[in-house]
Amino acid sequence: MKIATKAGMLAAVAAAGLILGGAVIEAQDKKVVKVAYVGPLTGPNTAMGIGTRNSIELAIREANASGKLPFKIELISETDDSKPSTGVAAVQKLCNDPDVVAASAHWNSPVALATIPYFQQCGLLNLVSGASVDALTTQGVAEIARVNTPFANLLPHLAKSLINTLNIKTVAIVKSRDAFGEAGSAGFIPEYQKLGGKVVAEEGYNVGDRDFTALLTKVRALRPDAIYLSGLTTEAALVARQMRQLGMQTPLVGHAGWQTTTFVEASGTAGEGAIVVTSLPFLKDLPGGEAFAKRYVDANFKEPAEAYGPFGYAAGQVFVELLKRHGADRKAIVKGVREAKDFETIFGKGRFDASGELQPKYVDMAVLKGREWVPLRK
Amino acid sequence: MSSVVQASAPGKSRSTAIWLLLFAVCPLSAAIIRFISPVQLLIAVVVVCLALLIPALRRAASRVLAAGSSPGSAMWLPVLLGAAAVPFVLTPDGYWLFVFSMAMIFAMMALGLNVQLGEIGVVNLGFAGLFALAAYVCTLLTLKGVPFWLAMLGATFACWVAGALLGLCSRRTSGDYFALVTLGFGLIVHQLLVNLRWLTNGADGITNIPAISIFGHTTKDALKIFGLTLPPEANGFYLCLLALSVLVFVALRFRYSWVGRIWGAMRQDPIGVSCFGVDVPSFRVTTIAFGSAFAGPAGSLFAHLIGFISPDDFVLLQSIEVLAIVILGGMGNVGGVLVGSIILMVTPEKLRFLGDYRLMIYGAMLVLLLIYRPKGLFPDPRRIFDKA
Amino acid sequence: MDLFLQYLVNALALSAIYALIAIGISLFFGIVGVVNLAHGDIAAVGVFAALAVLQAVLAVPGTETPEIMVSIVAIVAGGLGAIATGVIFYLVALKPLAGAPPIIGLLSSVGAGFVIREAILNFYPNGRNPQSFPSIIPPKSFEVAGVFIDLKQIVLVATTAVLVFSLTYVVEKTRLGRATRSILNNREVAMSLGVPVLKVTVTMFVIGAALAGIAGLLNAFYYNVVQSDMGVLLTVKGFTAAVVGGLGNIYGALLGAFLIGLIESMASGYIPDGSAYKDVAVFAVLIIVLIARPNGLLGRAGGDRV
Repeated sequence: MKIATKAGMLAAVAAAGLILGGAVIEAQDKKVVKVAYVGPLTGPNTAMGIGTRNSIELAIREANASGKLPFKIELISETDDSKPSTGVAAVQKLCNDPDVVAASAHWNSPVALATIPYFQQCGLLNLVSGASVDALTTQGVAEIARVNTPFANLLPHLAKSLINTLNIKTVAIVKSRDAFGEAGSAGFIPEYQKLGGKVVAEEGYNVGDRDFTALLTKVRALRPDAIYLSGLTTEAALVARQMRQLGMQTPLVGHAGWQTTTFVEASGTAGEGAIVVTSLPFLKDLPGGEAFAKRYVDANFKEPAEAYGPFGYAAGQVFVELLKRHGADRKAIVKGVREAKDFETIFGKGRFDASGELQPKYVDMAVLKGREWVPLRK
Repeated sequence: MSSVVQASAPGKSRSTAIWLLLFAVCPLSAAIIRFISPVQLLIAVVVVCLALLIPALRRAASRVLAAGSSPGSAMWLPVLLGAAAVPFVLTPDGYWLFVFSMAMIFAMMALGLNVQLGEIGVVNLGFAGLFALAAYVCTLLTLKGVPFWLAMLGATFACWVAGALLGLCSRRTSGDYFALVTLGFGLIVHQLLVNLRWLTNGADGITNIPAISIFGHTTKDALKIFGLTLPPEANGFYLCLLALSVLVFVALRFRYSWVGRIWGAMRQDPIGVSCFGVDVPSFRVTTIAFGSAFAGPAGSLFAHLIGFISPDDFVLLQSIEVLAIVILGGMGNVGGVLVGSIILMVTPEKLRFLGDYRLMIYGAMLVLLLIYRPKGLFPDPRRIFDKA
Repeated sequence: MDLFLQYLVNALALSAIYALIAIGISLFFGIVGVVNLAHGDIAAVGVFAALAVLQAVLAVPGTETPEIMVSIVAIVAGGLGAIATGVIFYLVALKPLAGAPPIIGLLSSVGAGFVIREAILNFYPNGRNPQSFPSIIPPKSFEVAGVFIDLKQIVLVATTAVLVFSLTYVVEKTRLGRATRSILNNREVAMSLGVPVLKVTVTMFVIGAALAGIAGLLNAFYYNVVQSDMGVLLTVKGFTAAVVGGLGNIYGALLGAFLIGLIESMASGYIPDGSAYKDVAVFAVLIIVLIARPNGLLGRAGGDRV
């Protein structure tokens, strides 16, 4: 019976804790407006999610500190674990919280696609700051807008640069068999062919594959001018290394999916000279870029802003502006996004077009030189 | 049978009280889960687990659960009615109804796996593959214009066939080999979903899956009952409740028939059973197919309630989650499986702040349970003579 | 033809890694009768232990430690990391289950695998991202008649060959090997004849875990990119190889690993868009093998199987 007594006492202590805990949580300030970030705060892409959330947080902190707002903005965040079903649950949670007036959700495109109907259903704005498939804003949903650069802006630029600047007339496409890799390939091919380029092979791999030697041996025999890799960091680094291992000197080109510092480290010397079309701003090219970098450091976040930080910061700036103009009203905010012509963000003065894309979009080419991603200039 | 079930004889007032108590269980727990703070929930879970350390309490709990989950039990009606009252308690909050619907969907799968793992001791590490099969078959059929109910039957049939094929591999191979076959099955299904783009739209998944429509009322419409307006998620909740009830009924009918007795005997001593003229390998195949079919309704409802499916929702982790539900709840105990699914599927939603440590806790819990409570939190009282 | 030879070379390197994992899983199974689905994760711990040492050494500027020394320290650290994990895993997650059906042990290893994987992911600095593993073997390829052979591939295959050869010597010729084989045959009888079963079991676990650690390290040297969940792939492929060859049989594991590597390489090479389907091909072969030969290619028929 000794265990029983002990357990009973513990239960009593716990019950007391429950009551006390409840009392503490009840006390809360009233004049608070909530905006939300939903993204990969757990799971495989956590670094990106946290960097973006911190950047939104920074914009909101600055607005609160300015003292010009009649209310206090609070950022709440939910994880989507990079999984559609978790994302849907998270968005439903936001929808059911009447204090939440706007959200910036999802870094992973499949998750963002999955939650569109839920944002629509509860009339909540989703100002996308990470997911980059085109289909998000082509469905005519008023609740979806985007600050980051979608593939529709990137891939034509890549095709043009390959043909005109780099004189690469044939490519072999190596793509990951997921939404991201496929979208990067499907959007590129027609643009490239239109300009006279030729795609000599299109090979897919599964995310998590480690050995590309067989695939690359096959591609090597076709002698393309370049290999276009549409995928993410790990696989890109492995492809770069294994290309050299097989004696291939063919250049590796791609898009921002693997334009990361991890690629630089993981590919070693094999990655040198890789060329990507980038949507990730070189901060010194942005009107508010260097100031952002400095303030982010000053704000003492534990984690770096990562590549999508600037977009998160821009989303935060847009949130503040919308709240200032329309107050805590979901409907007015959704309407206000496309109406206003002058959003002052880290990217300069911009406006949202009819499909909900913040214009102008940032696009550039980058090359890996001396273990650093630098702008590709002639 | 326990005294709770036979309580109608001694006095009317006592039985009414018990009836009301049983009726209150679901709405009350739902309300508590909804309004409690995460920290409080954590404390509550710890308290419950500590309480279950007391052997007498644990025995009583599993006896009530087991007695209550026999097919003739008088406990089902009040509990079911109580569950039906949950949306009225939670309204207008649709989010928690959605969470409970998901828990019920996983409970359906766990019932199926329980037949395989709990009843005949076959490890299936590919249940997510069956789940995916059901979701995609049902979705592709409804997108072709087949009514949802027929599509769900089709999906269930597809799962049954897949289960039978898997089962055929078990005819000649032993347990560990079969575990690998199911592991491989799960991986293959995932890869095929990703790669057969013409059929499944690849990793982009299928968007805009139509809502389920019943007499012109769709699951996207708000539900009006007794003049009260319930959020649209209540539709899904009731559909899941209906499906789950039917599946529980089916599972129990089988368990408490001659089939269930052969299952138990097969798990204990296959050679002994075959001496009595049972064709054990064939019986095993049928049982695996039967258990797999449970994924049919689960996958179909999942696809149509979320409205979007992609291969990422059907990975090894989901298989392990279902496995954990069965092991936690108590292998072979239908009531335990239901409680297990609530604990494992609802608590994490509340404990989102634990985030990254969730999977670690999952794994550690699995190991600890297998060592200290190999029969689960609520062991099946019929199994006192089992080896494990 | 040179294309085919190139595929064959690639396949050999792949098989060498799978073989060490498969042998470890096979050995575990033979000794304790449990399929260890955390084996690849034990290898991953070894890799990250070695990586920690390498990163620590490389982070100190100005030290002129000879590369060979660093490599040896890293390899030792990796081996020790894997051995420690393997032994702890056995004592914590498997030994308390003695007497339970083997399936319970398999489930327990699944749980332990999750714990190990997530522990690396959460507690290793920046463990969530793929990490670059320094190249200890210099990047150098030789071209022989149009076929590129990398120095790393040679090291890989040679190391595996040496290890497998020594292991078979231990199992076939030494006292420890005889004790092991007696346990493989019948645990109870071995115990009653005075074989120190626990001691031998732990020793074989140490050897198996060390093999896993070395396999992980070879994997890291070869690809130079490591990730917290690298163990899953190793486990799945190693397990498959062990089963195809016949669980409990070292030569079987070797044969299985070679087959799996070959199928992967050829499927990616000769089927259009085959890279995406190579695992499907592998598992299709697995199922066919299991139906035709239920105990694997070189496996013995089990006892009282119904």
